[in-house]
Amino acid sequence: MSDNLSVSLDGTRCKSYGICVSVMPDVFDTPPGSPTAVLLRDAVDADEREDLEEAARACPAQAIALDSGRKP
Amino acid sequence: MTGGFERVVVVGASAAGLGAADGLREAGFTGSITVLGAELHQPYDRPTLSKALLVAEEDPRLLELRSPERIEANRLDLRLGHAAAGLDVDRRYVVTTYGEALPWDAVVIACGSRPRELRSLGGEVLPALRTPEDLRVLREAAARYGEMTLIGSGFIGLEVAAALVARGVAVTVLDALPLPLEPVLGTELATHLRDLHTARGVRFRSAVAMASVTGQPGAYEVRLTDGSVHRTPFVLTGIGAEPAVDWLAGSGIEVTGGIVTDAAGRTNVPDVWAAGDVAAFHHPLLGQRVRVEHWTHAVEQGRHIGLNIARGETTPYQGVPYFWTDQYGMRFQCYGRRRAGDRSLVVEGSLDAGEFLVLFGHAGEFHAAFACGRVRSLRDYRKLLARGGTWDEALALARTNTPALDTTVSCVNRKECTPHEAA
Repeated sequence: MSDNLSVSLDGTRCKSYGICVSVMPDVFDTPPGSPTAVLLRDAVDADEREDLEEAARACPAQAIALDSGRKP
Repeated sequence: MTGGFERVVVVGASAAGLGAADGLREAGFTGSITVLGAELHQPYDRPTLSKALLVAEEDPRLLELRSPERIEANRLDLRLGHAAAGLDVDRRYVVTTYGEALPWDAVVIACGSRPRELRSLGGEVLPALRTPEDLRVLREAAARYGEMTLIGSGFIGLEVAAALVARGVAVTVLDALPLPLEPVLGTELATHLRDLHTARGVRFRSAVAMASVTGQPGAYEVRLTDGSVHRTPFVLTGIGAEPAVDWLAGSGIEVTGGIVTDAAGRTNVPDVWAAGDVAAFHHPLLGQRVRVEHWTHAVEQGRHIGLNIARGETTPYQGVPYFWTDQYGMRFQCYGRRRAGDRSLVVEGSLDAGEFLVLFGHAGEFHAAFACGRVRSLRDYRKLLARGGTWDEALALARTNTPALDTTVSCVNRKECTPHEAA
Protein backbone atom coordinates (compact mmCIF):
# COMPACT_ATOMS: atom_id res chain seq x y z
CA MET A 1 0.00 0.00 0.00
CA SER A 2 3.01 2.27 -0.22
CA ASP A 3 1.56 3.93 -3.34
CA ASN A 4 -1.47 5.19 -1.47
CA LEU A 5 -2.13 8.86 -1.01
CA SER A 6 -3.81 10.05 2.10
CA VAL A 7 -6.50 12.67 1.91
CA SER A 8 -7.79 14.91 4.65
CA LEU A 9 -10.76 17.20 4.91
CA ASP A 10 -10.70 20.31 7.09
CA GLY A 11 -14.12 20.36 8.72
CA THR A 12 -13.63 23.92 9.94
CA ARG A 13 -13.24 25.19 6.38
CA CYS A 14 -15.62 22.86 4.51
CA LYS A 15 -18.90 24.51 3.48
CA SER A 16 -20.35 21.37 1.95
CA TYR A 17 -20.20 22.68 -1.62
CA GLY A 18 -20.12 19.08 -2.81
CA ILE A 19 -18.08 19.68 -5.96
CA CYS A 20 -15.68 17.06 -4.61
CA VAL A 21 -18.54 14.54 -4.61
CA SER A 22 -19.14 15.05 -8.31
CA VAL A 23 -15.44 14.50 -8.98
CA MET A 24 -14.80 11.58 -6.59
CA PRO A 25 -18.07 10.15 -5.25
CA ASP A 26 -16.32 7.12 -3.80
CA VAL A 27 -14.11 9.31 -1.60
CA PHE A 28 -16.35 12.23 -0.63
CA ASP A 29 -19.98 12.45 0.38
CA THR A 30 -22.35 15.16 1.55
CA PRO A 31 -24.84 13.35 3.78
CA PRO A 32 -28.23 15.06 4.15
CA GLY A 33 -28.23 17.33 7.15
CA SER A 34 -24.47 17.31 7.58
CA PRO A 35 -22.93 20.79 7.66
CA THR A 36 -19.75 19.47 6.05
CA ALA A 37 -18.75 16.84 3.56
CA VAL A 38 -17.36 13.59 4.91
CA LEU A 39 -14.62 11.26 3.77
CA LEU A 40 -15.72 7.76 2.84
CA ARG A 41 -12.09 6.66 2.94
CA ASP A 42 -8.89 8.51 3.70
CA ALA A 43 -6.55 6.70 1.33
CA VAL A 44 -6.72 6.66 -2.45
CA ASP A 45 -4.69 4.76 -5.01
CA ALA A 46 -1.89 6.53 -6.81
CA ASP A 47 -3.73 6.20 -10.12
CA GLU A 48 -6.52 8.34 -8.67
CA ARG A 49 -4.15 11.15 -7.88
CA GLU A 50 -5.20 13.30 -10.79
CA ASP A 51 -8.87 13.23 -9.80
CA LEU A 52 -8.05 13.84 -6.16
CA GLU A 53 -5.87 16.82 -7.01
CA GLU A 54 -8.62 18.22 -9.19
CA ALA A 55 -11.15 17.79 -6.38
CA ALA A 56 -8.80 19.67 -4.05
CA ARG A 57 -8.35 22.51 -6.54
CA ALA A 58 -12.08 22.69 -7.24
CA CYS A 59 -12.94 23.19 -3.56
CA PRO A 60 -13.98 26.85 -3.13
CA ALA A 61 -13.32 26.50 0.60
CA GLN A 62 -9.86 24.97 0.06
CA ALA A 63 -10.70 22.29 2.61
CA ILE A 64 -9.12 19.28 0.93
CA ALA A 65 -5.48 18.35 1.41
CA LEU A 66 -3.57 15.38 0.13
CA ASP A 67 -0.39 13.94 1.39
CA SER A 68 1.73 11.64 -0.70
CA GLY A 69 3.83 10.52 2.27
CA ARG A 70 3.49 6.94 3.43
CA LYS A 71 0.84 6.39 5.97
CA PRO A 72 2.21 5.29 9.32
CA MET B 1 12.98 26.89 -18.92
CA THR B 2 14.95 29.29 -21.07
CA GLY B 3 17.43 31.60 -19.39
CA GLY B 4 16.33 35.11 -18.51
CA PHE B 5 12.73 34.09 -17.98
CA GLU B 6 12.32 35.28 -14.45
CA ARG B 7 9.41 37.64 -13.96
CA VAL B 8 5.73 36.86 -14.31
CA VAL B 9 3.03 39.44 -13.65
CA VAL B 10 -0.46 38.09 -12.98
CA VAL B 11 -3.22 40.65 -13.43
CA GLY B 12 -6.01 39.62 -11.05
CA ALA B 13 -5.92 38.09 -7.55
CA SER B 14 -8.74 35.91 -8.75
CA ALA B 15 -9.51 32.21 -8.98
CA ALA B 16 -7.86 32.22 -12.41
CA GLY B 17 -4.94 34.43 -11.40
CA LEU B 18 -4.08 32.44 -8.29
CA GLY B 19 -4.60 29.24 -10.27
CA ALA B 20 -1.98 30.46 -12.74
CA ALA B 21 0.42 31.22 -9.91
CA ASP B 22 -0.15 27.72 -8.52
CA GLY B 23 0.48 26.19 -11.93
CA LEU B 24 3.74 28.14 -12.35
CA ARG B 25 5.07 26.92 -9.00
CA GLU B 26 3.75 23.40 -9.52
CA ALA B 27 5.79 23.18 -12.72
CA GLY B 28 8.91 24.43 -10.96
CA PHE B 29 9.02 28.10 -11.91
CA THR B 30 11.37 29.77 -9.44
CA GLY B 31 11.26 33.38 -10.61
CA SER B 32 9.13 36.20 -9.25
CA ILE B 33 5.34 36.20 -9.43
CA THR B 34 3.64 39.54 -8.88
CA VAL B 35 -0.13 39.35 -8.48
CA LEU B 36 -2.17 42.52 -8.86
CA GLY B 37 -5.50 42.62 -7.01
CA ALA B 38 -7.79 45.52 -7.89
CA GLU B 39 -9.72 45.14 -4.63
CA LEU B 40 -8.27 45.70 -1.16
CA HIS B 41 -9.61 42.44 0.21
CA GLN B 42 -7.43 39.41 0.60
CA PRO B 43 -8.38 37.12 -2.29
CA TYR B 44 -11.82 35.76 -1.46
CA ASP B 45 -14.34 33.31 -2.81
CA ARG B 46 -16.67 35.40 -4.96
CA PRO B 47 -19.48 32.86 -5.62
CA THR B 48 -20.38 32.91 -1.92
CA LEU B 49 -21.53 36.52 -2.24
CA SER B 50 -24.72 35.59 -4.06
CA LYS B 51 -25.06 32.29 -2.21
CA ALA B 52 -24.39 31.63 1.49
CA LEU B 53 -23.35 35.17 2.47
CA LEU B 54 -26.52 36.76 1.20
CA VAL B 55 -28.66 34.31 3.15
CA ALA B 56 -26.54 34.51 6.32
CA GLU B 57 -28.26 35.95 9.36
CA GLU B 58 -25.05 37.22 10.91
CA ASP B 59 -22.58 39.64 9.34
CA PRO B 60 -21.08 37.91 6.34
CA ARG B 61 -17.47 36.81 6.59
CA LEU B 62 -15.56 36.43 3.36
CA LEU B 63 -14.17 33.01 2.63
CA GLU B 64 -10.49 33.34 1.76
CA LEU B 65 -9.44 31.91 -1.58
CA ARG B 66 -5.94 31.03 -0.39
CA SER B 67 -4.56 30.84 3.11
CA PRO B 68 -1.83 33.36 3.96
CA GLU B 69 0.48 30.36 4.50
CA ARG B 70 -0.10 29.16 0.97
CA ILE B 71 0.45 32.62 -0.51
CA GLU B 72 3.68 32.79 1.48
CA ALA B 73 4.75 29.28 0.46
CA ASN B 74 4.16 30.14 -3.20
CA ARG B 75 6.23 33.31 -2.76
CA LEU B 76 3.60 35.54 -4.30
CA ASP B 77 4.14 39.27 -4.32
CA LEU B 78 0.49 40.10 -3.78
CA ARG B 79 -0.32 43.77 -4.35
CA LEU B 80 -3.83 44.47 -3.14
CA GLY B 81 -5.52 47.62 -4.32
CA HIS B 82 -3.15 47.80 -7.28
CA ALA B 83 -5.08 47.37 -10.51
CA ALA B 84 -3.51 47.19 -13.94
CA ALA B 85 -3.87 50.48 -15.81
CA GLY B 86 -2.00 49.63 -18.98
CA LEU B 87 0.11 47.08 -20.79
CA ASP B 88 3.18 48.08 -22.78
CA VAL B 89 3.92 45.15 -25.04
CA ASP B 90 7.03 46.70 -26.64
CA ARG B 91 8.97 47.61 -23.53
CA ARG B 92 7.21 44.82 -21.64
CA TYR B 93 5.76 46.63 -18.63
CA VAL B 94 2.47 46.40 -16.80
CA VAL B 95 1.57 49.85 -15.51
CA THR B 96 -0.51 49.92 -12.34
CA THR B 97 -2.97 52.41 -10.89
CA TYR B 98 -0.20 53.31 -8.42
CA GLY B 99 1.99 54.36 -11.32
CA GLU B 100 4.32 51.39 -10.98
CA ALA B 101 5.84 49.97 -14.17
CA LEU B 102 6.33 46.27 -13.57
CA PRO B 103 8.68 44.55 -16.01
CA TRP B 104 7.67 41.10 -17.20
CA ASP B 105 8.89 38.12 -19.13
CA ALA B 106 5.34 36.78 -19.21
CA VAL B 107 1.94 38.18 -18.26
CA VAL B 108 -1.21 36.31 -17.31
CA ILE B 109 -4.30 38.48 -17.67
CA ALA B 110 -6.91 37.15 -15.26
CA CYS B 111 -8.80 40.30 -14.30
CA GLY B 112 -12.20 38.75 -14.94
CA SER B 113 -15.33 40.64 -15.76
CA ARG B 114 -17.60 43.26 -14.31
CA PRO B 115 -21.36 43.52 -14.22
CA ARG B 116 -22.89 45.01 -17.35
CA GLU B 117 -23.97 48.48 -16.29
CA LEU B 118 -27.46 49.82 -16.35
CA ARG B 119 -28.05 53.47 -15.53
CA SER B 120 -31.10 55.35 -14.44
CA LEU B 121 -32.21 58.29 -16.56
CA GLY B 122 -30.62 60.45 -13.88
CA GLY B 123 -27.24 58.86 -14.65
CA GLU B 124 -26.94 56.68 -11.54
CA VAL B 125 -25.31 53.31 -12.13
CA LEU B 126 -27.91 50.95 -10.73
CA PRO B 127 -26.77 48.52 -8.03
CA ALA B 128 -25.34 45.15 -9.04
CA LEU B 129 -23.68 42.37 -7.05
CA ARG B 130 -20.00 41.78 -7.65
CA THR B 131 -18.04 42.78 -4.55
CA PRO B 132 -18.38 42.56 -0.75
CA GLU B 133 -19.28 46.27 -0.78
CA ASP B 134 -22.14 45.53 -3.18
CA LEU B 135 -23.23 42.73 -0.87
CA ARG B 136 -23.40 45.11 2.09
CA VAL B 137 -25.54 47.58 0.14
CA LEU B 138 -27.85 44.77 -0.93
CA ARG B 139 -28.24 43.33 2.56
CA GLU B 140 -28.96 46.76 4.00
CA ALA B 141 -31.52 47.50 1.30
CA ALA B 142 -33.23 44.15 1.89
CA ALA B 143 -33.50 44.90 5.60
CA ARG B 144 -34.63 48.49 5.08
CA TYR B 145 -37.21 48.09 2.31
CA GLY B 146 -38.39 44.48 2.65
CA GLU B 147 -39.11 44.57 -1.04
CA MET B 148 -37.05 44.76 -4.20
CA THR B 149 -36.91 44.21 -7.93
CA LEU B 150 -34.29 42.25 -9.79
CA ILE B 151 -33.58 43.20 -13.38
CA GLY B 152 -32.38 40.09 -15.19
CA SER B 153 -33.01 36.44 -14.40
CA GLY B 154 -29.58 34.89 -14.84
CA PHE B 155 -27.75 32.84 -12.24
CA ILE B 156 -27.04 35.78 -9.96
CA GLY B 157 -30.55 37.19 -10.23
CA LEU B 158 -32.10 33.84 -9.35
CA GLU B 159 -29.71 33.12 -6.51
CA VAL B 160 -30.35 36.56 -5.10
CA ALA B 161 -34.11 36.05 -5.46
CA ALA B 162 -33.95 32.74 -3.58
CA ALA B 163 -31.77 34.20 -0.83
CA LEU B 164 -33.96 37.29 -0.39
CA VAL B 165 -37.15 35.27 -0.24
CA ALA B 166 -35.53 33.23 2.52
CA ARG B 167 -35.01 36.53 4.36
CA GLY B 168 -38.67 37.43 3.95
CA VAL B 169 -38.15 40.02 1.21
CA ALA B 170 -40.83 40.43 -1.47
CA VAL B 171 -39.10 39.92 -4.82
CA THR B 172 -40.11 40.80 -8.37
CA VAL B 173 -37.97 39.63 -11.29
CA LEU B 174 -38.07 41.50 -14.60
CA ASP B 175 -36.64 39.99 -17.73
CA ALA B 176 -37.03 40.30 -21.47
CA LEU B 177 -36.61 36.52 -21.71
CA PRO B 178 -39.77 34.45 -21.45
CA LEU B 179 -38.15 32.07 -18.96
CA PRO B 180 -35.18 32.44 -16.62
CA LEU B 181 -31.92 30.94 -17.91
CA GLU B 182 -33.71 29.41 -20.87
CA PRO B 183 -30.69 29.51 -23.19
CA VAL B 184 -28.64 27.61 -20.61
CA LEU B 185 -31.23 25.12 -19.39
CA GLY B 186 -33.71 24.68 -22.23
CA THR B 187 -37.44 25.31 -21.96
CA GLU B 188 -38.41 22.41 -19.73
CA LEU B 189 -35.80 22.87 -17.02
CA ALA B 190 -36.18 26.66 -17.14
CA THR B 191 -39.92 26.21 -16.58
CA HIS B 192 -39.19 23.94 -13.64
CA LEU B 193 -36.84 26.51 -12.14
CA ARG B 194 -39.30 29.36 -12.67
CA ASP B 195 -42.00 27.31 -10.96
CA LEU B 196 -39.73 26.68 -7.97
CA HIS B 197 -39.45 30.44 -7.56
CA THR B 198 -43.10 31.31 -8.10
CA ALA B 199 -44.14 28.60 -5.61
CA ARG B 200 -42.14 30.49 -3.00
CA GLY B 201 -43.64 33.85 -3.81
CA VAL B 202 -41.29 35.38 -6.40
CA ARG B 203 -43.19 37.42 -8.99
CA PHE B 204 -41.95 37.24 -12.56
CA ARG B 205 -42.64 39.84 -15.20
CA SER B 206 -41.10 37.99 -18.08
CA ALA B 207 -40.91 38.53 -21.82
CA VAL B 208 -41.15 42.27 -21.47
CA ALA B 209 -38.16 44.50 -21.97
CA MET B 210 -37.26 47.44 -19.80
CA ALA B 211 -37.38 50.90 -21.34
CA SER B 212 -35.97 53.08 -18.57
CA VAL B 213 -35.45 53.48 -14.85
CA THR B 214 -35.95 56.71 -12.91
CA GLY B 215 -35.73 57.59 -9.24
CA GLN B 216 -33.32 56.70 -6.48
CA PRO B 217 -33.04 54.22 -3.62
CA GLY B 218 -36.36 54.24 -1.80
CA ALA B 219 -38.45 55.07 -4.88
CA TYR B 220 -37.68 53.80 -8.36
CA GLU B 221 -39.96 53.67 -11.38
CA VAL B 222 -39.18 51.10 -14.02
CA ARG B 223 -40.86 51.73 -17.36
CA LEU B 224 -41.46 48.66 -19.47
CA THR B 225 -41.82 48.53 -23.24
CA ASP B 226 -45.45 47.48 -22.92
CA GLY B 227 -46.14 50.92 -21.47
CA SER B 228 -46.58 49.80 -17.88
CA VAL B 229 -44.71 51.29 -14.94
CA HIS B 230 -43.33 49.17 -12.11
CA ARG B 231 -42.65 50.93 -8.80
CA THR B 232 -40.14 49.53 -6.36
CA PRO B 233 -37.97 50.84 -3.51
CA PHE B 234 -34.82 49.10 -4.75
CA VAL B 235 -33.48 47.54 -7.93
CA LEU B 236 -30.61 45.14 -8.41
CA THR B 237 -29.32 44.51 -11.90
CA GLY B 238 -28.03 41.15 -13.02
CA ILE B 239 -27.91 41.41 -16.78
CA GLY B 240 -24.65 39.65 -17.45
CA ALA B 241 -20.99 40.49 -17.22
CA GLU B 242 -18.48 42.07 -19.55
CA PRO B 243 -14.78 41.28 -19.68
CA ALA B 244 -12.73 43.93 -17.86
CA VAL B 245 -10.60 44.97 -20.81
CA ASP B 246 -10.80 48.80 -20.85
CA TRP B 247 -7.26 49.06 -19.54
CA LEU B 248 -5.97 47.20 -22.62
CA ALA B 249 -7.24 49.80 -25.10
CA GLY B 250 -4.45 50.64 -27.52
CA SER B 251 -2.15 47.94 -26.12
CA GLY B 252 -2.20 45.82 -29.24
CA ILE B 253 -3.87 42.90 -27.48
CA GLU B 254 -6.68 41.57 -29.64
CA VAL B 255 -10.06 41.93 -27.94
CA THR B 256 -13.24 40.62 -29.54
CA GLY B 257 -15.90 39.73 -26.99
CA GLY B 258 -13.07 39.05 -24.52
CA ILE B 259 -9.32 38.71 -24.91
CA VAL B 260 -8.83 36.46 -27.89
CA THR B 261 -6.55 33.51 -27.17
CA ASP B 262 -5.75 30.18 -28.73
CA ALA B 263 -6.63 26.93 -26.98
CA ALA B 264 -3.36 27.08 -25.06
CA GLY B 265 -4.24 30.49 -23.63
CA ARG B 266 -1.89 32.66 -25.74
CA THR B 267 -3.00 36.09 -26.93
CA ASN B 268 -1.79 37.60 -30.21
CA VAL B 269 1.19 39.14 -28.34
CA PRO B 270 4.08 36.82 -27.45
CA ASP B 271 4.29 35.88 -23.75
CA VAL B 272 0.95 37.49 -22.93
CA TRP B 273 -1.66 34.94 -21.86
CA ALA B 274 -5.23 35.25 -20.63
CA ALA B 275 -7.18 33.00 -18.27
CA GLY B 276 -10.66 32.79 -16.78
CA ASP B 277 -13.72 34.73 -17.82
CA VAL B 278 -11.80 37.58 -19.44
CA ALA B 279 -10.56 35.19 -22.15
CA ALA B 280 -12.38 34.15 -25.30
CA PHE B 281 -10.66 30.99 -26.43
CA HIS B 282 -11.24 28.16 -28.80
CA HIS B 283 -12.51 25.22 -26.74
CA PRO B 284 -11.77 21.90 -28.47
CA LEU B 285 -14.69 20.12 -26.77
CA LEU B 286 -17.22 22.81 -27.54
CA GLY B 287 -15.96 23.33 -31.07
CA GLN B 288 -16.15 27.10 -30.88
CA ARG B 289 -14.68 30.23 -29.37
CA VAL B 290 -16.18 30.75 -25.91
CA ARG B 291 -15.87 32.79 -22.78
CA VAL B 292 -16.54 30.48 -19.81
CA GLU B 293 -17.78 32.40 -16.77
CA HIS B 294 -17.62 29.61 -14.24
CA TRP B 295 -15.55 29.26 -11.11
CA THR B 296 -13.85 25.88 -11.52
CA HIS B 297 -13.05 26.75 -15.11
CA ALA B 298 -11.14 29.79 -13.89
CA VAL B 299 -9.14 27.66 -11.45
CA GLU B 300 -8.36 24.90 -13.94
CA GLN B 301 -7.64 27.05 -16.97
CA GLY B 302 -5.52 29.40 -14.85
CA ARG B 303 -3.44 26.50 -13.57
CA HIS B 304 -3.17 25.04 -17.06
CA ILE B 305 -1.76 28.30 -18.39
CA GLY B 306 0.66 28.53 -15.47
CA LEU B 307 1.89 25.04 -16.32
CA ASN B 308 2.21 25.93 -20.01
CA ILE B 309 4.26 29.05 -19.27
CA ALA B 310 6.61 27.30 -16.84
CA ARG B 311 7.13 24.32 -19.12
CA GLY B 312 7.43 26.30 -22.33
CA GLU B 313 4.50 24.33 -23.75
CA THR B 314 1.36 25.21 -25.69
CA THR B 315 -0.92 22.35 -24.63
CA PRO B 316 -4.57 23.13 -25.38
CA TYR B 317 -6.96 23.48 -22.46
CA GLN B 318 -10.01 21.26 -22.78
CA GLY B 319 -11.53 20.93 -19.34
CA VAL B 320 -15.25 20.20 -19.20
CA PRO B 321 -17.13 23.36 -18.17
CA TYR B 322 -18.92 23.01 -14.83
CA PHE B 323 -21.22 25.21 -12.81
CA TRP B 324 -23.32 24.94 -9.73
CA THR B 325 -26.08 27.14 -8.41
CA ASP B 326 -27.80 27.15 -5.01
CA GLN B 327 -31.46 27.98 -4.76
CA TYR B 328 -33.84 27.27 -1.86
CA GLY B 329 -31.47 24.76 -0.30
CA MET B 330 -31.25 22.86 -3.56
CA ARG B 331 -28.00 22.58 -5.45
CA PHE B 332 -28.02 22.28 -9.21
CA GLN B 333 -24.84 21.11 -10.89
CA CYS B 334 -23.99 20.86 -14.56
CA TYR B 335 -21.08 19.45 -16.53
CA GLY B 336 -20.75 20.39 -20.19
CA ARG B 337 -22.79 22.97 -22.02
CA ARG B 338 -26.25 22.65 -23.48
CA ARG B 339 -26.58 23.93 -27.05
CA ALA B 340 -29.61 25.43 -28.77
CA GLY B 341 -31.81 22.69 -30.20
CA ASP B 342 -30.57 19.99 -27.83
CA ARG B 343 -33.00 17.33 -26.71
CA SER B 344 -33.22 16.67 -22.98
CA LEU B 345 -33.73 13.32 -21.31
CA VAL B 346 -34.36 12.58 -17.65
CA VAL B 347 -32.28 9.50 -16.89
CA GLU B 348 -32.60 9.43 -13.09
CA GLY B 349 -35.26 10.63 -10.69
CA SER B 350 -37.89 13.12 -11.80
CA LEU B 351 -38.46 16.84 -11.72
CA ASP B 352 -41.55 16.39 -9.59
CA ALA B 353 -39.52 14.49 -7.01
CA GLY B 354 -37.05 17.39 -6.89
CA GLU B 355 -34.15 15.06 -7.55
CA PHE B 356 -33.08 14.28 -11.07
CA LEU B 357 -30.36 13.92 -13.64
CA VAL B 358 -30.96 15.25 -17.15
CA LEU B 359 -28.81 14.69 -20.24
CA PHE B 360 -28.58 17.11 -23.15
CA GLY B 361 -27.49 16.23 -26.66
CA HIS B 362 -28.24 16.43 -30.34
CA ALA B 363 -27.63 14.37 -33.47
CA GLY B 364 -25.74 11.65 -31.68
CA GLU B 365 -23.59 14.10 -29.71
CA PHE B 366 -23.62 14.25 -25.93
CA HIS B 367 -23.34 17.83 -24.65
CA ALA B 368 -24.17 18.12 -20.96
CA ALA B 369 -25.37 16.46 -17.76
CA PHE B 370 -27.45 18.50 -15.30
CA ALA B 371 -28.35 17.23 -11.86
CA CYS B 372 -30.27 18.21 -8.75
CA GLY B 373 -29.24 15.76 -6.06
CA ARG B 374 -27.92 12.62 -7.78
CA VAL B 375 -24.50 14.23 -7.63
CA ARG B 376 -22.77 10.89 -7.21
CA SER B 377 -23.82 9.88 -10.71
CA LEU B 378 -22.20 12.90 -12.33
CA ARG B 379 -18.67 11.56 -12.23
CA ASP B 380 -19.08 9.09 -15.07
CA TYR B 381 -20.85 11.59 -17.33
CA ARG B 382 -18.10 14.08 -16.63
CA LYS B 383 -15.50 11.53 -17.73
CA LEU B 384 -17.55 10.77 -20.82
CA LEU B 385 -17.81 14.45 -21.72
CA ALA B 386 -14.07 14.88 -21.21
CA ARG B 387 -13.30 12.27 -23.84
CA GLY B 388 -15.95 13.47 -26.28
CA GLY B 389 -18.28 10.51 -25.72
CA THR B 390 -21.41 10.06 -27.83
CA TRP B 391 -25.11 10.20 -26.96
CA ASP B 392 -25.34 6.42 -27.27
CA GLU B 393 -22.51 6.02 -24.78
CA ALA B 394 -24.31 8.38 -22.42
CA LEU B 395 -27.49 6.31 -22.77
CA ALA B 396 -25.55 3.10 -22.14
CA LEU B 397 -24.20 4.68 -18.97
CA ALA B 398 -27.69 5.79 -17.96
CA ARG B 399 -28.95 2.23 -18.34
CA THR B 400 -26.38 0.93 -15.89
CA ASN B 401 -28.13 3.03 -13.22
CA THR B 402 -31.66 2.83 -14.63
CA PRO B 403 -31.98 -0.48 -16.52
CA ALA B 404 -35.61 0.15 -17.46
CA LEU B 405 -34.84 3.60 -18.91
CA ASP B 406 -37.33 4.54 -21.59
CA THR B 407 -35.50 6.70 -24.10
CA THR B 408 -38.33 6.98 -26.61
CA VAL B 409 -40.56 9.24 -24.54
CA SER B 410 -37.95 11.51 -23.42
CA CYS B 411 -38.41 15.15 -22.61
CA VAL B 412 -38.37 16.56 -19.15
CA ASN B 413 -42.10 17.23 -19.17
CA ARG B 414 -43.06 13.92 -20.65
CA LYS B 415 -46.61 14.85 -21.41
CA GLU B 416 -45.48 17.42 -23.95
CA CYS B 417 -43.21 15.09 -25.83
CA THR B 418 -43.51 13.35 -29.09
CA PRO B 419 -41.65 10.06 -29.01
CA HIS B 420 -38.46 10.13 -31.00
CA GLU B 421 -35.04 8.60 -30.88
CA ALA B 422 -31.90 10.65 -30.97
CA ALA B 423 -30.64 10.89 -34.53
